[in-house]
Formats: sequence, C-alpha cells, structure tokens
Amino acid sequence: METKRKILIIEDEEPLQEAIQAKFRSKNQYQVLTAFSAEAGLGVLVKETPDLIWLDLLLPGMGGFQFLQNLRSTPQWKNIPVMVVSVSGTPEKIQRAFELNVIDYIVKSQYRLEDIVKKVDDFMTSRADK
Amino acid sequence: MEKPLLHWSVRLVMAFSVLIGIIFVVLGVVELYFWRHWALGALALVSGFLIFGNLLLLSSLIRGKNHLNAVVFSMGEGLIEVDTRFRIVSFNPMAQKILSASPGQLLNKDIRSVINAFENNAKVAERDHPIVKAIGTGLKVVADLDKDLYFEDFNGRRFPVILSSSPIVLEDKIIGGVIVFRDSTEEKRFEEAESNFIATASHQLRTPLTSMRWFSEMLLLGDVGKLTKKQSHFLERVYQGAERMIKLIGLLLQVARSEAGKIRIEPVLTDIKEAVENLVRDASAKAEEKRQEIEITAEPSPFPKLAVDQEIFSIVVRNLLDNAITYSSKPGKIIISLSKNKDEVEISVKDEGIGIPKKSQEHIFEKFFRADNALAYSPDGWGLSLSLAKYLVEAWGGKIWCVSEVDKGAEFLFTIPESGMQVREGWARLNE
Repeated sequence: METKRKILIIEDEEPLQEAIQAKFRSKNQYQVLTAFSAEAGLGVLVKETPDLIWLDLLLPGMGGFQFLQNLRSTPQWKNIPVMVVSVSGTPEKIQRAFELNVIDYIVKSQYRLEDIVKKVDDFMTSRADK
Repeated sequence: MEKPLLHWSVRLVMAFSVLIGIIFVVLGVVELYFWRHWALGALALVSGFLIFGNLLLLSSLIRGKNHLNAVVFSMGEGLIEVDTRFRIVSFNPMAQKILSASPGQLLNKDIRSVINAFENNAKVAERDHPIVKAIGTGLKVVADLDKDLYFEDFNGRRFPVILSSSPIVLEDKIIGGVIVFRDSTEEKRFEEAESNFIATASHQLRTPLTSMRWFSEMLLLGDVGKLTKKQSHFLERVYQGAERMIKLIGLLLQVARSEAGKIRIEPVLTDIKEAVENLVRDASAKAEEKRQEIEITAEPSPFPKLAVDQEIFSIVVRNLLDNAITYSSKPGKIIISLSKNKDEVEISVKDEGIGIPKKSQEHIFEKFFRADNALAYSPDGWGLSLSLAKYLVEAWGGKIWCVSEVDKGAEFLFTIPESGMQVREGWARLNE
C-alpha cells in the first residue's frame, strides 16, 4: 500500500483543531499530525517531515510568524510547504507571509472547511504529478 | 498671571480716597449749613460725590478684571499668552504645572525656544510651531488627539498634547497670541486600549463562529452520516446564522474603526477602471442570479490613473454595487460610470431597482437606518454599508450623495479629489 501523505495542523483553538482533524479523517487520504502551539509544531518536526503544514498565525507563545522564520532558517525544514490559515488577513500580514514563502494565505472565517481542504488536495495532487 | 487679590498699594489708595471723599462731603455740609458759603460748599459736596463715583467705577472694573483672572487662574487647561515677538507675557498655574516649569523659566522667554513641539518623533520646525502659525496666519490652529502632537516639559518628559492656538486681535490688529493646551496622555492610553479591544474582540468572536460554521458544514455535507430532510433544514439555519454573524462582525468592526476616525488611508496610483472591473467580476454570480446586467463606462478613455487606497476604494464600490443588485426586483441594468470634472473624479452606481422614498433619502446614510421599502423587500440587511461608505468617502476628502425615485431606481455618486485620496495616519487598516 502506498504510504499516506502527512499533514501537520498547527492550530491552538481546540474546536477548530477537532473540526479540521475530523474533516481529514473522513476523507482518509492523509496522515494527520497535530500541534496546539508553534513550539509543539517544532517538536513534531524533529521526528516527522510532513508534506504540508497548515499554520494558524495567532498562536500562544512563539506565534506563527516566528515559527515560519525558524522553519525557513533551518536547512532541513526550509522547503516544507506551508499554508497559512488565519483569522485575520491584512495586506501587510499577507505580504509578510508570502515573503516567507508560504503557498497560500487563507482567512479562515471566509471559507468553507471543504474548500480549504480542496486547496490542500489540489496542492498535494500538483506535487504528486511532479 | 497674578493671583486675583488686590495689591496692598491699591487698597491703600482706595482707603485714602474714601477718607478724602468723606472729608469733602463733611466740609461741603458744614460750609453750606453753618457758614452759608454756597459756592464753596457746593464745590466740596460735588467733589466728594465725584470721588465716591470714581471709587465705585474703579471697584467694579477691578472686580471684572479679578473675575477674569480667577477664571484663567483656575482653568483645567494650561494657558500661555505671548506678544508678537513670541515672548511669554503671562501664563496660568496649570501651564506651569503641565510643563513642570518655574515662573522664571517661562516669563519673558521666547515660547519657540522654551516649549519644544514634536510630531512623529521629529521636532516641529519653528515656523510650524502652533503659536507661530496662529500669529502668522491670523487663524486659529487646533491640534486634536489625531494630530499626534507632543510637547516636552522642563524635565525632558514628552507628552501628547491637545491644543488650540489663536491670535489675539485688538482693533483689527494682531497684538499677540494665546495657546490653550492640556496633557492628553490618558486619552491616548484609552485610545490604544480601545484599538486592542476591537482587534481582540473580533478575533474572539470569529473563532467560535468559525467552528460553528465548519461543524455544521461537515454535518450538512454528510461527512458523518446521512441526515433527514428536516435535520438538514435545521442545520442549514445554524450554518446561515453563523455565516451571517461572521459577516456582521466584520462590518461592525469596519464601522467602529471608521467612526472612531482611526482608519489608515494609504493611496497608491491605481487604474480604478480596472479595479471596478475586478469588483464587477466578483459580483457577477449574484448579479446573474438577480438577472442584472452590469455595464461600466469611463470618460475619458483610457481613464487616468488615480492615487487611491485600493482596499478602501473597493469596499465603497462593492457596497454600492451590492446594494444595487440586492434592491433590484426585476431584470435590469446597472451602470457604473467614471467621469472627470474640473478638480475631482466622480463615480456613479445606477440601478433600476426599488428606489428610495423621498422622506428616507436624507436618512439613507445614517447608521442602522433602512428605508421602509428596503426593509420589506429584503429584511436581512443591517443598514450599515452606506454609513460606512459615507465615513470612508469623507475620510479621503470626497463627497457622497444619492438621487432616486421609488420604483425607478437609485443612483449613488461619490467623488475622489483629482489629486487622489487624502493620506490619513491611523492605527488600523479597515480589515484586520
């Protein structure tokens, strides 16, 4: 059997984390790794290398941008694709995130979960084709 | 400013005058009554009364002056008066207190060198000092909280200041200037707390609503099993409710920020015709649903680029276009036209919808106001998008108005100065 692709979800809000996990589980396409903080996310990365990171920005402690900076400055992690899914999206934040090489920036309250997951699927498919 | 008490020398002179007055009156009475020296007696009597009259006049003058002094003395604001060479002539105790100055540090000193003003962390040039401007232009200069003007006191502490500075005019001639100011540290602190509050509140409200929306969406999509028709219908209501709340929070946030006058406007040179075309594309699904054809006209063509803040421009046009579509009850045409007048660009959004009754037109830009026919036709609206549009248009230095006839349609027009939107410093973007 083909090994499942891995996705790491970094989201501190418990209900949202549960919704996202449930959505991915129902599709049964990916192996879902979870972290409730940026620090915990880095902890996961020590053991696992996901194909995609789903990153919230407003996190307790380190915060999403600091996480992204750490990620991009560490050689073995710097090419891991990141999709930002945040509650707020000012032009400044969006620009800053893209400068840190994220593949997409999604304002979560404006999207159906189904559509965000569709974006993940599309990205994974485009990767598989290559 | 001296204390509102009579100087001892004035008191002495007044007491002496009373004495002289009494002597003259007594002398007059004695001359007339006992010695029958008519002329001398009358003269003494008149002189005595004249002295009393003058004393009365003097004391009322002194009382008036003292009253004014007392008012200035006990004012909660600092007050400084300068002459035309900017030398400090007088000041009240509050001015001294706010500036942590001793009287000697202020009196007869050049205000431009003793009170340093700062704006955006840079020292304000002498010619731009509020008092210099007031005396130079002969006009009142006001710096409110938005101005971000700071003074430095004699201990080197910088504090935000709210002030008004005016020329003193006597018989059509400027004889000096007066500056009234207060330390606005508290107001500033409150303002910052408020901005954090709005941002935090919106995040805290959106998160649970997003989870409601996502969970109900999963249930509706059958991710965890099939639902009955009725269950689906009920859930649909939950889903729509959450969605509506998310939109409302976004809109309330925008209104709260605009109303507080705290929106940052950052214009960049933009092809506004192209921006309008993009907005029309975004609205095409809804327009099609309501069978509305949208046409864009621009005169001159190609339409010159204009400095606008794209986010803010888009919100205004989107709100007007969205209203035009929403309030069109039958298939029709919506025309968006861009034109250029002498010194401004005018943009109009015209529909063939239900229109606005005459009596409602003057209220149409008020917050939460909804015209009766609009309320009946589309009960779901909030009455916020037009008030938001008005705040924004006026914030960038434009005008907005409407022309309408019931059942014929409505046209909303707004302007942008030819030189572009006015730049505005502020703590927030509209959406955050």
